[in-house]
Amino acid sequence: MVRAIPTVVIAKLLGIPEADHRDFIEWSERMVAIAEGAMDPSPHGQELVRYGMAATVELNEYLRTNYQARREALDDDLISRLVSSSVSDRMSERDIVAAFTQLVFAGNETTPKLMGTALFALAQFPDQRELLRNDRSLIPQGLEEIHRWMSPAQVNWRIVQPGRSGSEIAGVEVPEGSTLLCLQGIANRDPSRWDDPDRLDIQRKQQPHLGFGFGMHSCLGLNLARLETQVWLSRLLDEIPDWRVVDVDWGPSWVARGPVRIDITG
Amino acid sequence: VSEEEYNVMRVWIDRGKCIASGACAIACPEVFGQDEDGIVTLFAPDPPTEYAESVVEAANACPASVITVEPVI
Repeated sequence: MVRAIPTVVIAKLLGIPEADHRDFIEWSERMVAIAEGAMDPSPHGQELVRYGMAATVELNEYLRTNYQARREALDDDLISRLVSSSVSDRMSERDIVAAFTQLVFAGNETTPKLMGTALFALAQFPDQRELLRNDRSLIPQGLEEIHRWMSPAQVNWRIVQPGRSGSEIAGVEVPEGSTLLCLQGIANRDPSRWDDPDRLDIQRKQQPHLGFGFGMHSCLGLNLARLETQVWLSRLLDEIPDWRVVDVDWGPSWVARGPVRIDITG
Repeated sequence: VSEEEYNVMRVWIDRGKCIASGACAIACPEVFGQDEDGIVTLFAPDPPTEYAESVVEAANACPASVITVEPVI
């Protein structure tokens, strides 16, 4: 359920036929796995990288075909709107296709994992779930709190540039060329900012967290992600008001952290 | 486009559109690097022929299509 929703939303926005939605999920997952494969020097890791790069080519090809088809016959979807907009006059076909590819790639992994995390979090804090069920106006802030508590975005990279030897962080020397993994997720549980940070408290004082990043790297899809998760959660509270988590598999990735499988029972 | 065509090639990058996925630096670390924020950097705009295959692979693998490879005749 949670895996499919954001993909189907993006695919429908783009006017992609339902029969191809499964391919969309697969291409996206293969592309995201490049980052995982890159840190794994084993043959399996190299395979993930190759497989992911091939997915980029396939998805680009597929979207290019769709884009060209819309130029022949407009429809009522995002691709058609871009075709008929003056914005596309100033963009090359390659840039347009790349924009669609990134839409698929960026939205298909993170939002399902936020939804999966919400399933996990609210089962662990049933009193908070009760609050949400009884007052749906709390859902937006409830999801922000879940996002703070355990965001799919836990790490970000920084690369120490060549010639920058002697760099030091908190007394630890960092050799040039090293890749640093900054654990931004930890800021979302910083006790100097959040009272009792390990507790999920949807009524805590609302203040910005780093789940959607910040500055120029803020998540461009955050409004869509918020809308999707809010509609989904309210519907879920109607359909399965007090689910329990039977089993959860967090998968190997901490690049996009979140359940890859979560079994619940009503 | 097959890599055989690039006996001598020229590479361009558009840093403004780079999303720092790092795919290029994985495909061809001899030609593509990443700055502190992960944004693409170019070590060699005229890379040696031996890297032709992996340069084309890097260009194709970029999710934002910011790498352009053209043959020089």
